[in-house]
Amino acid sequence: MQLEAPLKKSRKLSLTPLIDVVFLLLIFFMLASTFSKFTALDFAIGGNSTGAEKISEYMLLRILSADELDLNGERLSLAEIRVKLEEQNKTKPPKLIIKPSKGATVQSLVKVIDLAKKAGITSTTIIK
Amino acid sequence: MKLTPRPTSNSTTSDESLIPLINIVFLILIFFLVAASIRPFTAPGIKPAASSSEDASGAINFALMIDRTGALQFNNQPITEKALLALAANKTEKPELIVIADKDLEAATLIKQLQALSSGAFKSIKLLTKKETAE
Repeated sequence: MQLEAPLKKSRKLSLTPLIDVVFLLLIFFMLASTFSKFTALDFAIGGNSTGAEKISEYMLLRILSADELDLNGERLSLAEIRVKLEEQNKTKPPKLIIKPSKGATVQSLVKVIDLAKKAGITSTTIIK
Repeated sequence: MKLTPRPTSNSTTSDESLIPLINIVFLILIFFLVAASIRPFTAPGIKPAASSSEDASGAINFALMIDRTGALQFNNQPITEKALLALAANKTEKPELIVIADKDLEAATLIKQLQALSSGAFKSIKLLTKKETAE
């Protein structure tokens, strides 16, 4: 007895589920993604000192408010501080201590950390 | 001569008309996949400070959020410094703490909180900032 194979009806695949999934992926990526880049700054918090370091190696940068800064007691602008730090860095790399005063925000602190990095300072400590 | 229209099924024509739409949707999808990156989770009210530094941020596994009032949040839940230190101690490897602080938070408050957390429980402490365009 010879059995005839059942005729297969070729059916076209429906595109609708594919479109559904692609739309879902698209919506997910549109909502979850961002075009802005994020960076992570190293945050060295000052602790207890052994007292063995020479005080002359340090420079104290105080943040008085958003645009008011003082370096070793001298009130200077951001640009002037950058020049001073670059000059000092050429002769003897200083250890920079950043001390935000009351009223200084995280944004102004980050601005100062950026400034120190641009001036080539590698040792930065933040104290209260 | 009489031309007879080619017999077509309705479903095929409707599917074919969708192809340009699928092409465009695929293109937009690929654009987002290539050009954008997944946003790090931040609580709705927290805006990170802008920075021009070049350091790229790696994977964020242990993120502490601090809002403008100085309240700590971990996994979208309020947390105390002690509880966070206990969580870090439970990890087999010392985690890297990523701090997502609001830009308007007082710097002294941030330092005070981070001083309490910098007792050796974390490998390092990093502050997450949004990259601003160069001057």
